[in-house]
Amino acid sequence: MADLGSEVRTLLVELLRNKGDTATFSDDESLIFSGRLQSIDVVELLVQLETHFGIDFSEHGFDQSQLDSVRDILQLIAELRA
Amino acid sequence: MSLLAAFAVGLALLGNAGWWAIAAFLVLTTFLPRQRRVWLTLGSLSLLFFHTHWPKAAFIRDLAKREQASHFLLSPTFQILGALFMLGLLGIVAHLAGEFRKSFPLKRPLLTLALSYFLLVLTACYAPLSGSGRVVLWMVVVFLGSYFWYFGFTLLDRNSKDPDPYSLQLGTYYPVWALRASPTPFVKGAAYLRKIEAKNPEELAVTQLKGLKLLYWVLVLDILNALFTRFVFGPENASSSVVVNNLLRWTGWELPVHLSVPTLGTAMARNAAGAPFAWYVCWVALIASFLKSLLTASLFGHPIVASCRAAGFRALRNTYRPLESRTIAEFFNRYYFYFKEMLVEFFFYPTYLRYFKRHRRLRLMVASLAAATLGNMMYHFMRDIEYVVQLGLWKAVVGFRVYAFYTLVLGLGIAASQISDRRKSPHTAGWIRDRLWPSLGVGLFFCLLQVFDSTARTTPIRDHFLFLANLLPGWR
Repeated sequence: MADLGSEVRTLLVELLRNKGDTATFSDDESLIFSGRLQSIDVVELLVQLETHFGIDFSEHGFDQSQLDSVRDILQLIAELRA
Repeated sequence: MSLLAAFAVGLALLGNAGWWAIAAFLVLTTFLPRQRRVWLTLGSLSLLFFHTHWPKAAFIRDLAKREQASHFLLSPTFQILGALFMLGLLGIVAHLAGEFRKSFPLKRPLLTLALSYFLLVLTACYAPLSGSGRVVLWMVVVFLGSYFWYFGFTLLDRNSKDPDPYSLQLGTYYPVWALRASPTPFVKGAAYLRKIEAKNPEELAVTQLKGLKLLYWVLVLDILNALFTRFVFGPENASSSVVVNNLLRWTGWELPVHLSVPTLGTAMARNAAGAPFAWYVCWVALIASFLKSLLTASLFGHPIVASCRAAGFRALRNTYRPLESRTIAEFFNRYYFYFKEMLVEFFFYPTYLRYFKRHRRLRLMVASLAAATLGNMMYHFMRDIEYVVQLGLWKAVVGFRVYAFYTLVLGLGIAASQISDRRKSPHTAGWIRDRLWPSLGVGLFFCLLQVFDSTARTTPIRDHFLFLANLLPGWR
Protein backbone atom coordinates (compact mmCIF):
# COMPACT_ATOMS: atom_id res chain seq x y z
CA MET A 1 0.00 0.00 0.00
CA ALA A 2 2.93 2.30 0.81
CA ASP A 3 4.40 1.82 -2.70
CA LEU A 4 1.03 2.35 -4.28
CA GLY A 5 0.64 5.45 -2.16
CA SER A 6 3.95 6.90 -3.29
CA GLU A 7 3.10 6.10 -6.94
CA VAL A 8 -0.18 7.96 -6.65
CA ARG A 9 1.52 10.82 -4.87
CA THR A 10 4.15 11.07 -7.61
CA LEU A 11 1.40 11.27 -10.25
CA LEU A 12 -0.32 14.07 -8.36
CA VAL A 13 2.90 15.99 -7.68
CA GLU A 14 3.73 15.83 -11.39
CA LEU A 15 0.25 16.96 -12.37
CA LEU A 16 0.35 19.92 -9.99
CA ARG A 17 3.91 20.85 -10.96
CA ASN A 18 2.85 21.05 -14.63
CA LYS A 19 0.36 23.70 -13.55
CA GLY A 20 3.02 25.61 -11.66
CA ASP A 21 1.66 24.45 -8.28
CA THR A 22 4.57 23.27 -6.12
CA ALA A 23 2.87 23.52 -2.71
CA THR A 24 2.91 20.36 -0.61
CA PHE A 25 -0.19 18.38 0.35
CA SER A 26 -1.11 15.72 2.87
CA ASP A 27 -2.77 12.39 2.06
CA ASP A 28 -6.16 13.69 3.21
CA GLU A 29 -5.94 17.09 1.60
CA SER A 30 -8.59 17.97 -0.96
CA LEU A 31 -7.14 18.67 -4.39
CA ILE A 32 -10.22 18.85 -6.65
CA PHE A 33 -12.83 20.43 -4.41
CA SER A 34 -10.27 22.90 -3.11
CA GLY A 35 -9.79 24.06 -6.71
CA ARG A 36 -6.13 23.02 -7.08
CA LEU A 37 -7.02 20.49 -9.78
CA GLN A 38 -9.49 21.38 -12.57
CA SER A 39 -11.67 19.05 -14.66
CA ILE A 40 -9.02 18.75 -17.35
CA ASP A 41 -6.44 17.78 -14.73
CA VAL A 42 -8.84 15.13 -13.45
CA VAL A 43 -9.00 13.76 -16.98
CA GLU A 44 -5.20 13.59 -17.07
CA LEU A 45 -5.25 11.86 -13.69
CA LEU A 46 -7.81 9.32 -14.94
CA VAL A 47 -5.66 8.52 -17.95
CA GLN A 48 -2.61 8.06 -15.72
CA LEU A 49 -4.54 5.80 -13.33
CA GLU A 50 -5.86 3.74 -16.25
CA THR A 51 -2.36 3.38 -17.66
CA HIS A 52 -0.53 2.71 -14.38
CA PHE A 53 -3.06 0.53 -12.59
CA GLY A 54 -5.03 -1.05 -15.43
CA ILE A 55 -8.37 0.40 -14.31
CA ASP A 56 -11.09 0.85 -16.93
CA PHE A 57 -13.20 3.76 -15.70
CA SER A 58 -15.62 3.44 -18.62
CA GLU A 59 -16.69 0.13 -17.09
CA HIS A 60 -16.86 1.26 -13.47
CA GLY A 61 -17.87 4.89 -13.69
CA PHE A 62 -16.62 7.32 -11.09
CA ASP A 63 -17.32 10.45 -9.16
CA GLN A 64 -14.87 13.32 -8.63
CA SER A 65 -15.14 12.85 -4.87
CA GLN A 66 -13.41 9.48 -5.31
CA LEU A 67 -10.29 11.20 -6.67
CA ASP A 68 -10.15 14.21 -4.38
CA SER A 69 -7.15 13.19 -2.25
CA VAL A 70 -4.37 10.60 -2.16
CA ARG A 71 -6.38 8.58 0.35
CA ASP A 72 -9.55 8.74 -1.80
CA ILE A 73 -7.62 7.50 -4.84
CA LEU A 74 -6.04 4.65 -2.91
CA GLN A 75 -9.44 3.64 -1.60
CA LEU A 76 -10.87 3.71 -5.12
CA ILE A 77 -8.06 1.57 -6.51
CA ALA A 78 -8.53 -0.93 -3.70
CA GLU A 79 -12.29 -1.07 -4.35
CA LEU A 80 -11.91 -1.54 -8.08
CA ARG A 81 -9.25 -4.19 -7.69
CA ALA A 82 -11.27 -6.16 -5.12
CA MET B 1 -26.29 33.66 16.90
CA SER B 2 -25.00 37.14 16.09
CA LEU B 3 -23.28 35.72 13.01
CA LEU B 4 -26.58 34.25 11.82
CA ALA B 5 -28.39 37.51 12.56
CA ALA B 6 -25.79 39.40 10.51
CA PHE B 7 -26.29 36.86 7.75
CA ALA B 8 -30.08 37.30 7.77
CA VAL B 9 -29.66 41.10 7.64
CA GLY B 10 -27.30 40.73 4.68
CA LEU B 11 -29.80 38.58 2.79
CA ALA B 12 -32.60 41.06 3.52
CA LEU B 13 -30.44 43.97 2.31
CA LEU B 14 -29.90 42.08 -0.92
CA GLY B 15 -33.67 41.95 -1.39
CA ASN B 16 -33.84 38.17 -0.96
CA ALA B 17 -37.55 37.58 -0.30
CA GLY B 18 -36.86 34.20 1.32
CA TRP B 19 -34.28 35.51 3.80
CA TRP B 20 -36.36 34.40 6.78
CA ALA B 21 -36.69 30.83 5.44
CA ILE B 22 -32.93 30.58 4.90
CA ALA B 23 -32.28 32.14 8.33
CA ALA B 24 -34.58 29.61 10.04
CA PHE B 25 -32.83 26.80 8.21
CA LEU B 26 -29.41 28.12 9.26
CA VAL B 27 -30.46 28.22 12.92
CA LEU B 28 -31.34 24.53 12.71
CA THR B 29 -28.17 23.48 10.88
CA THR B 30 -26.00 25.51 13.30
CA PHE B 31 -27.48 24.39 16.59
CA LEU B 32 -28.38 20.83 15.59
CA PRO B 33 -25.49 20.09 13.21
CA ARG B 34 -25.66 16.30 13.49
CA GLN B 35 -28.99 16.35 11.70
CA ARG B 36 -27.75 18.86 9.09
CA ARG B 37 -28.58 16.66 6.10
CA VAL B 38 -32.01 15.84 7.55
CA TRP B 39 -32.75 19.57 7.88
CA LEU B 40 -31.69 19.92 4.28
CA THR B 41 -34.23 17.34 3.15
CA LEU B 42 -36.97 18.82 5.33
CA GLY B 43 -36.12 22.30 4.04
CA SER B 44 -36.28 21.17 0.44
CA LEU B 45 -39.64 19.47 1.00
CA SER B 46 -40.95 22.51 2.90
CA LEU B 47 -40.22 24.69 -0.10
CA LEU B 48 -42.17 22.22 -2.22
CA PHE B 49 -45.09 22.46 0.20
CA PHE B 50 -45.08 26.19 0.86
CA HIS B 51 -43.20 27.86 -1.98
CA THR B 52 -43.43 26.28 -5.44
CA HIS B 53 -45.65 23.21 -5.65
CA TRP B 54 -44.91 22.47 -9.26
CA PRO B 55 -42.16 23.90 -11.50
CA LYS B 56 -43.11 26.47 -14.17
CA ALA B 57 -46.41 27.33 -12.47
CA ALA B 58 -47.29 30.18 -14.89
CA PHE B 59 -46.78 27.97 -17.93
CA ILE B 60 -48.93 25.17 -16.48
CA ARG B 61 -51.64 27.71 -15.55
CA ASP B 62 -51.74 29.13 -19.10
CA LEU B 63 -51.81 25.68 -20.66
CA ALA B 64 -54.62 24.53 -18.35
CA LYS B 65 -56.62 27.63 -19.24
CA ARG B 66 -56.11 27.10 -22.98
CA GLU B 67 -56.98 23.40 -22.74
CA GLN B 68 -59.95 24.16 -20.47
CA ALA B 69 -58.63 21.54 -18.09
CA SER B 70 -59.99 20.78 -14.64
CA HIS B 71 -59.17 23.46 -12.05
CA PHE B 72 -58.19 20.66 -9.69
CA LEU B 73 -54.91 20.32 -11.62
CA LEU B 74 -53.89 23.77 -10.41
CA SER B 75 -54.80 23.17 -6.78
CA PRO B 76 -51.97 22.93 -4.23
CA THR B 77 -53.32 19.56 -3.05
CA PHE B 78 -53.03 17.96 -6.49
CA GLN B 79 -49.67 19.53 -7.22
CA ILE B 80 -48.09 18.65 -3.87
CA LEU B 81 -49.37 15.07 -4.00
CA GLY B 82 -48.33 14.86 -7.65
CA ALA B 83 -44.84 16.17 -6.85
CA LEU B 84 -44.47 13.65 -4.01
CA PHE B 85 -45.64 10.87 -6.33
CA MET B 86 -43.08 11.90 -8.97
CA LEU B 87 -40.29 12.09 -6.39
CA GLY B 88 -41.32 8.64 -5.16
CA LEU B 89 -41.15 7.36 -8.73
CA LEU B 90 -37.66 8.80 -9.13
CA GLY B 91 -36.71 7.11 -5.85
CA ILE B 92 -37.78 3.74 -7.30
CA VAL B 93 -35.73 4.42 -10.44
CA ALA B 94 -32.70 5.34 -8.28
CA HIS B 95 -33.13 2.11 -6.29
CA LEU B 96 -33.42 -0.01 -9.45
CA ALA B 97 -30.41 1.77 -10.99
CA GLY B 98 -28.39 0.78 -7.91
CA GLU B 99 -29.65 -2.83 -7.84
CA PHE B 100 -29.36 -3.62 -11.54
CA ARG B 101 -26.36 -1.48 -12.43
CA LYS B 102 -24.78 -4.10 -14.66
CA SER B 103 -27.77 -4.75 -16.87
CA PHE B 104 -29.26 -2.76 -19.74
CA PRO B 105 -30.91 -0.20 -19.65
CA LEU B 106 -29.86 0.70 -16.09
CA LYS B 107 -26.17 0.33 -16.89
CA ARG B 108 -26.43 3.76 -18.52
CA PRO B 109 -29.27 5.27 -16.44
CA LEU B 110 -28.71 8.88 -17.49
CA LEU B 111 -28.87 8.02 -21.17
CA THR B 112 -31.99 5.97 -20.54
CA LEU B 113 -33.51 8.82 -18.57
CA ALA B 114 -32.70 11.36 -21.31
CA LEU B 115 -34.19 9.12 -24.02
CA SER B 116 -37.30 8.55 -21.89
CA TYR B 117 -37.65 12.28 -21.40
CA PHE B 118 -37.48 13.08 -25.11
CA LEU B 119 -39.85 10.20 -25.89
CA LEU B 120 -42.26 11.75 -23.42
CA VAL B 121 -41.88 15.16 -25.13
CA LEU B 122 -42.70 13.53 -28.50
CA THR B 123 -45.73 11.84 -26.96
CA ALA B 124 -46.92 15.10 -25.39
CA CYS B 125 -46.54 16.83 -28.77
CA TYR B 126 -48.17 14.28 -31.03
CA ALA B 127 -50.46 12.04 -28.93
CA PRO B 128 -54.14 12.71 -29.67
CA LEU B 129 -54.75 14.14 -26.22
CA SER B 130 -56.60 17.24 -25.11
CA GLY B 131 -57.91 18.85 -21.92
CA SER B 132 -56.74 17.56 -18.57
CA GLY B 133 -54.90 14.55 -20.05
CA ARG B 134 -52.67 16.79 -22.16
CA VAL B 135 -52.00 19.13 -19.25
CA VAL B 136 -51.04 16.25 -16.94
CA LEU B 137 -48.64 14.89 -19.56
CA TRP B 138 -46.96 18.29 -19.92
CA MET B 139 -46.82 18.62 -16.15
CA VAL B 140 -44.86 15.35 -16.04
CA VAL B 141 -42.52 16.61 -18.80
CA VAL B 142 -41.92 19.87 -16.94
CA PHE B 143 -41.29 18.07 -13.65
CA LEU B 144 -38.81 15.60 -15.13
CA GLY B 145 -37.01 18.39 -16.97
CA SER B 146 -36.74 20.49 -13.83
CA TYR B 147 -35.42 17.66 -11.67
CA PHE B 148 -33.36 15.95 -14.39
CA TRP B 149 -29.92 17.27 -13.44
CA TYR B 150 -30.50 17.00 -9.70
CA PHE B 151 -31.59 13.41 -10.12
CA GLY B 152 -28.58 12.81 -12.35
CA PHE B 153 -26.29 13.44 -9.39
CA THR B 154 -28.27 10.87 -7.37
CA LEU B 155 -27.61 8.34 -10.11
CA LEU B 156 -23.91 9.27 -10.10
CA ASP B 157 -23.79 8.74 -6.35
CA ARG B 158 -24.49 5.03 -6.87
CA ASN B 159 -20.80 4.80 -7.88
CA SER B 160 -19.82 5.83 -4.35
CA LYS B 161 -18.89 3.26 -1.74
CA ASP B 162 -21.46 4.56 0.74
CA PRO B 163 -24.09 6.49 -1.20
CA ASP B 164 -26.64 8.47 0.76
CA PRO B 165 -30.14 7.02 1.09
CA TYR B 166 -32.72 8.55 -1.22
CA SER B 167 -34.30 10.42 1.71
CA LEU B 168 -31.08 12.45 2.05
CA GLN B 169 -30.64 12.79 -1.70
CA LEU B 170 -33.97 14.66 -1.68
CA GLY B 171 -32.32 17.47 0.26
CA THR B 172 -30.03 18.16 -2.70
CA TYR B 173 -33.00 18.72 -5.04
CA TYR B 174 -33.57 22.46 -5.06
CA PRO B 175 -31.85 22.92 -1.69
CA VAL B 176 -32.95 25.67 0.66
CA TRP B 177 -29.96 27.93 -0.04
CA ALA B 178 -30.92 28.17 -3.75
CA LEU B 179 -34.62 28.80 -3.06
CA ARG B 180 -35.64 26.89 -6.20
CA ALA B 181 -33.83 29.44 -8.34
CA SER B 182 -32.28 27.24 -11.02
CA PRO B 183 -32.41 23.74 -12.51
CA THR B 184 -28.59 23.75 -12.22
CA PRO B 185 -27.72 21.78 -9.08
CA PHE B 186 -26.24 24.22 -6.56
CA VAL B 187 -24.01 22.80 -5.16
CA LYS B 188 -23.76 19.53 -7.12
CA GLY B 189 -24.99 16.35 -5.45
CA ALA B 190 -24.85 14.30 -2.28
CA ALA B 191 -21.30 12.99 -2.90
CA TYR B 192 -19.98 16.55 -3.02
CA LEU B 193 -21.94 17.61 0.07
CA ARG B 194 -20.56 14.69 2.09
CA LYS B 195 -17.07 15.74 1.09
CA ILE B 196 -17.41 19.43 1.95
CA GLU B 197 -19.48 19.19 5.11
CA ALA B 198 -17.89 20.73 8.22
CA LYS B 199 -16.85 17.88 10.49
CA ASN B 200 -16.43 19.76 13.79
CA PRO B 201 -17.36 23.08 15.45
CA GLU B 202 -14.06 24.72 14.39
CA GLU B 203 -14.61 23.86 10.72
CA LEU B 204 -18.20 25.03 11.01
CA ALA B 205 -17.15 28.39 12.46
CA VAL B 206 -14.54 28.97 9.74
CA THR B 207 -16.98 27.93 6.98
CA GLN B 208 -19.73 30.17 8.34
CA LEU B 209 -17.38 33.14 8.59
CA LYS B 210 -16.37 32.59 4.97
CA GLY B 211 -20.06 32.51 4.08
CA LEU B 212 -20.72 35.77 5.92
CA LYS B 213 -17.71 37.43 4.30
CA LEU B 214 -18.88 36.33 0.84
CA LEU B 215 -22.40 37.60 1.50
CA TYR B 216 -21.18 41.06 2.47
CA TRP B 217 -18.89 41.09 -0.56
CA VAL B 218 -22.06 40.49 -2.63
CA LEU B 219 -23.60 43.51 -0.96
CA VAL B 220 -20.67 45.62 -2.15
CA LEU B 221 -20.98 44.13 -5.65
CA ASP B 222 -24.73 44.79 -5.61
CA ILE B 223 -24.12 48.48 -4.92
CA LEU B 224 -21.34 48.66 -7.51
CA ASN B 225 -23.56 46.93 -10.08
CA ALA B 226 -26.44 49.36 -9.44
CA LEU B 227 -24.13 52.39 -9.74
CA PHE B 228 -22.29 50.97 -12.77
CA THR B 229 -25.48 50.19 -14.71
CA ARG B 230 -27.01 53.55 -13.68
CA PHE B 231 -23.95 55.42 -14.90
CA VAL B 232 -23.47 53.43 -18.11
CA PHE B 233 -27.02 52.62 -19.26
CA GLY B 234 -28.99 55.35 -17.47
CA PRO B 235 -31.62 55.07 -14.68
CA GLU B 236 -34.23 53.36 -16.88
CA ASN B 237 -31.93 50.39 -17.63
CA ALA B 238 -30.14 50.28 -14.28
CA SER B 239 -30.03 47.12 -12.18
CA SER B 240 -32.18 47.11 -9.09
CA SER B 241 -30.56 47.22 -5.65
CA VAL B 242 -32.43 47.53 -2.36
CA VAL B 243 -29.68 49.59 -0.75
CA VAL B 244 -29.08 51.97 -3.67
CA ASN B 245 -32.78 52.33 -4.53
CA ASN B 246 -33.70 53.22 -0.96
CA LEU B 247 -30.73 55.57 -0.62
CA LEU B 248 -31.70 57.44 -3.78
CA ARG B 249 -35.35 57.56 -2.74
CA TRP B 250 -34.61 58.88 0.76
CA THR B 251 -32.05 61.46 -0.31
CA GLY B 252 -33.74 62.42 -3.60
CA TRP B 253 -30.27 62.32 -5.13
CA GLU B 254 -29.53 61.03 -8.62
CA LEU B 255 -26.28 60.49 -10.52
CA PRO B 256 -25.61 63.84 -12.19
CA VAL B 257 -24.41 62.26 -15.43
CA HIS B 258 -24.88 58.99 -17.22
CA LEU B 259 -23.59 57.73 -20.54
CA SER B 260 -26.90 56.35 -21.90
CA VAL B 261 -25.12 53.48 -23.60
CA PRO B 262 -27.69 51.24 -25.31
CA THR B 263 -28.06 47.76 -23.88
CA LEU B 264 -26.91 44.92 -26.10
CA GLY B 265 -30.56 43.99 -26.70
CA THR B 266 -31.41 47.54 -27.83
CA ALA B 267 -28.34 47.77 -30.06
CA MET B 268 -29.17 44.45 -31.71
CA ALA B 269 -32.83 45.37 -32.16
CA ARG B 270 -31.85 48.66 -33.82
CA ASN B 271 -29.46 46.80 -36.05
CA ALA B 272 -32.16 44.30 -37.07
CA ALA B 273 -34.59 47.16 -37.79
CA GLY B 274 -32.10 48.66 -40.25
CA ALA B 275 -31.17 51.68 -38.12
CA PRO B 276 -27.94 50.57 -36.46
CA PHE B 277 -25.83 52.55 -34.05
CA ALA B 278 -22.30 53.51 -35.12
CA TRP B 279 -19.75 50.67 -34.82
CA TYR B 280 -18.05 52.20 -31.80
CA VAL B 281 -21.38 52.56 -29.95
CA CYS B 282 -22.02 48.86 -30.63
CA TRP B 283 -18.61 48.00 -29.20
CA VAL B 284 -19.30 50.04 -26.05
CA ALA B 285 -22.71 48.33 -25.70
CA LEU B 286 -21.08 44.93 -26.14
CA ILE B 287 -18.33 45.54 -23.58
CA ALA B 288 -20.71 47.13 -21.06
CA SER B 289 -23.13 44.20 -21.38
CA PHE B 290 -20.25 41.76 -20.94
CA LEU B 291 -19.11 43.45 -17.73
CA LYS B 292 -22.68 43.56 -16.51
CA SER B 293 -23.10 39.85 -17.20
CA LEU B 294 -20.02 39.11 -15.07
CA LEU B 295 -21.46 41.12 -12.19
CA THR B 296 -24.87 39.50 -12.64
CA ALA B 297 -23.35 36.01 -12.50
CA SER B 298 -21.58 36.88 -9.24
CA LEU B 299 -24.72 38.44 -7.78
CA PHE B 300 -26.70 35.32 -8.61
CA GLY B 301 -24.24 32.68 -7.43
CA HIS B 302 -22.53 34.28 -4.43
CA PRO B 303 -25.59 34.49 -2.12
CA ILE B 304 -26.38 30.81 -2.83
CA VAL B 305 -22.81 29.71 -2.07
CA ALA B 306 -22.68 32.03 0.96
CA SER B 307 -25.88 30.47 2.38
CA CYS B 308 -24.53 27.00 1.66
CA ARG B 309 -21.36 27.88 3.59
CA ALA B 310 -23.40 29.32 6.44
CA ALA B 311 -25.17 25.96 6.62
CA GLY B 312 -21.79 24.28 7.13
CA PHE B 313 -20.72 23.19 3.65
CA ARG B 314 -17.39 24.46 2.29
CA ALA B 315 -18.64 25.07 -1.26
CA LEU B 316 -16.44 26.72 -3.87
CA ARG B 317 -17.65 29.97 -5.40
CA ASN B 318 -19.73 29.74 -8.55
CA THR B 319 -17.99 32.73 -10.14
CA TYR B 320 -14.38 33.44 -9.27
CA ARG B 321 -12.36 36.20 -10.96
CA PRO B 322 -13.27 35.24 -14.53
CA LEU B 323 -11.28 38.13 -16.02
CA GLU B 324 -8.07 36.54 -14.74
CA SER B 325 -8.62 33.51 -16.99
CA ARG B 326 -5.84 32.80 -19.45
CA THR B 327 -7.71 30.20 -21.50
CA ILE B 328 -11.28 29.79 -22.77
CA ALA B 329 -11.69 26.61 -20.73
CA GLU B 330 -10.51 28.42 -17.59
CA PHE B 331 -13.01 31.25 -18.14
CA PHE B 332 -15.87 28.76 -18.52
CA ASN B 333 -14.74 27.16 -15.27
CA ARG B 334 -14.47 30.46 -13.41
CA TYR B 335 -17.61 32.09 -14.80
CA TYR B 336 -20.29 29.50 -13.95
CA PHE B 337 -18.58 26.73 -12.00
CA TYR B 338 -21.57 24.57 -11.05
CA PHE B 339 -23.06 24.59 -14.55
CA LYS B 340 -19.65 23.58 -15.94
CA GLU B 341 -19.29 20.89 -13.27
CA MET B 342 -22.68 19.47 -14.24
CA LEU B 343 -21.68 19.31 -17.92
CA VAL B 344 -18.31 17.80 -17.07
CA GLU B 345 -19.80 15.07 -14.86
CA PHE B 346 -22.65 14.13 -17.19
CA PHE B 347 -21.10 14.62 -20.63
CA PHE B 348 -17.37 15.27 -20.62
CA TYR B 349 -16.10 12.39 -18.45
CA PRO B 350 -18.38 9.66 -19.87
CA THR B 351 -17.50 10.64 -23.45
CA TYR B 352 -13.81 11.02 -22.73
CA LEU B 353 -13.59 7.67 -20.98
CA ARG B 354 -15.52 5.70 -23.61
CA TYR B 355 -14.57 6.98 -27.05
CA PHE B 356 -11.41 7.44 -29.17
CA LYS B 357 -9.09 6.16 -26.48
CA ARG B 358 -6.15 5.94 -28.88
CA HIS B 359 -6.54 9.49 -30.22
CA ARG B 360 -5.85 11.92 -27.40
CA ARG B 361 -6.62 15.17 -29.19
CA LEU B 362 -9.71 13.83 -30.91
CA ARG B 363 -10.82 12.38 -27.58
CA LEU B 364 -10.51 15.79 -25.94
CA MET B 365 -12.26 17.53 -28.82
CA VAL B 366 -15.23 15.14 -28.87
CA ALA B 367 -15.61 15.20 -25.07
CA SER B 368 -15.51 19.03 -25.04
CA LEU B 369 -18.17 19.20 -27.75
CA ALA B 370 -20.29 16.62 -25.92
CA ALA B 371 -20.25 18.83 -22.81
CA ALA B 372 -20.15 22.46 -23.95
CA THR B 373 -22.24 21.94 -27.10
CA LEU B 374 -24.54 18.92 -26.75
CA GLY B 375 -24.98 19.07 -22.99
CA ASN B 376 -25.34 22.85 -22.99
CA MET B 377 -28.02 22.70 -25.71
CA MET B 378 -29.86 19.88 -23.99
CA TYR B 379 -29.92 21.76 -20.68
CA HIS B 380 -31.34 24.94 -22.23
CA PHE B 381 -33.81 23.09 -24.44
CA MET B 382 -35.18 21.30 -21.39
CA ARG B 383 -35.12 24.46 -19.30
CA ASP B 384 -37.21 26.35 -21.87
CA ILE B 385 -39.50 23.48 -22.82
CA GLU B 386 -42.53 25.82 -22.96
CA TYR B 387 -41.35 26.97 -26.41
CA VAL B 388 -42.34 23.52 -27.70
CA VAL B 389 -45.95 24.14 -26.64
CA GLN B 390 -45.97 27.75 -27.83
CA LEU B 391 -44.32 27.22 -31.22
CA GLY B 392 -44.65 23.50 -31.90
CA LEU B 393 -41.75 21.03 -31.74
CA TRP B 394 -40.31 21.72 -35.21
CA LYS B 395 -40.21 25.51 -34.84
CA ALA B 396 -38.85 25.24 -31.30
CA VAL B 397 -36.01 23.03 -32.54
CA VAL B 398 -35.23 25.07 -35.69
CA GLY B 399 -35.48 28.35 -33.77
CA PHE B 400 -32.80 27.05 -31.42
CA ARG B 401 -30.11 27.46 -34.08
CA VAL B 402 -28.76 30.75 -32.67
CA TYR B 403 -27.98 29.14 -29.32
CA ALA B 404 -26.81 25.97 -31.10
CA PHE B 405 -24.26 28.08 -32.98
CA TYR B 406 -23.22 29.70 -29.69
CA THR B 407 -22.62 26.31 -28.05
CA LEU B 408 -20.75 25.00 -31.11
CA VAL B 409 -18.28 27.92 -31.08
CA LEU B 410 -17.98 27.61 -27.30
CA GLY B 411 -17.30 23.87 -27.54
CA LEU B 412 -14.69 24.32 -30.27
CA GLY B 413 -13.06 27.17 -28.31
CA ILE B 414 -12.88 25.11 -25.13
CA ALA B 415 -11.50 22.09 -26.98
CA ALA B 416 -8.86 24.18 -28.76
CA SER B 417 -7.83 25.91 -25.55
CA GLN B 418 -7.54 22.60 -23.69
CA ILE B 419 -5.47 21.01 -26.43
CA SER B 420 -3.12 23.97 -26.70
CA ASP B 421 -2.93 24.37 -22.91
CA ARG B 422 -1.54 20.84 -22.57
CA ARG B 423 1.34 21.64 -24.88
CA LYS B 424 2.41 24.77 -23.00
CA SER B 425 5.03 24.84 -20.30
CA PRO B 426 3.81 26.89 -17.34
CA HIS B 427 4.76 30.49 -16.58
CA THR B 428 7.74 31.31 -18.76
CA ALA B 429 7.43 34.68 -20.45
CA GLY B 430 6.60 37.37 -17.90
CA TRP B 431 3.37 39.00 -16.77
CA ILE B 432 2.34 40.76 -19.98
CA ARG B 433 2.80 37.75 -22.27
CA ASP B 434 1.74 35.16 -19.71
CA ARG B 435 -1.23 36.89 -18.14
CA LEU B 436 -2.35 40.15 -19.73
CA TRP B 437 -2.54 39.21 -23.42
CA PRO B 438 -4.11 35.79 -22.87
CA SER B 439 -6.69 37.31 -20.47
CA LEU B 440 -7.58 40.06 -22.95
CA GLY B 441 -7.89 37.50 -25.75
CA VAL B 442 -10.20 35.31 -23.67
CA GLY B 443 -12.27 38.34 -22.65
CA LEU B 444 -12.62 39.37 -26.30
CA PHE B 445 -13.71 35.86 -27.30
CA PHE B 446 -16.50 35.76 -24.72
CA CYS B 447 -17.42 39.37 -25.36
CA LEU B 448 -18.03 38.63 -29.04
CA LEU B 449 -19.63 35.26 -28.36
CA GLN B 450 -22.37 36.86 -26.27
CA VAL B 451 -23.84 38.22 -29.54
CA PHE B 452 -25.13 34.64 -30.03
CA ASP B 453 -25.98 33.93 -26.40
CA SER B 454 -29.72 33.92 -26.97
CA THR B 455 -32.18 31.12 -26.29
CA ALA B 456 -35.11 33.06 -27.83
CA ARG B 457 -36.53 31.17 -30.81
CA THR B 458 -37.84 33.94 -33.03
CA THR B 459 -34.78 36.05 -33.94
CA PRO B 460 -33.14 34.97 -37.23
CA ILE B 461 -29.46 34.06 -36.93
CA ARG B 462 -28.80 36.50 -39.79
CA ASP B 463 -29.53 39.41 -37.40
CA HIS B 464 -26.82 38.19 -35.04
CA PHE B 465 -24.24 37.91 -37.82
CA LEU B 466 -25.21 41.36 -39.11
CA PHE B 467 -24.63 42.84 -35.66
CA LEU B 468 -21.24 41.15 -35.55
CA ALA B 469 -20.39 42.61 -38.95
CA ASN B 470 -21.53 46.05 -37.80
CA LEU B 471 -18.77 45.98 -35.18
CA LEU B 472 -16.28 46.39 -38.01
CA PRO B 473 -15.55 50.06 -38.82
CA GLY B 474 -16.74 50.98 -42.30
CA TRP B 475 -19.03 47.95 -42.69
CA ARG B 476 -21.97 50.17 -43.64
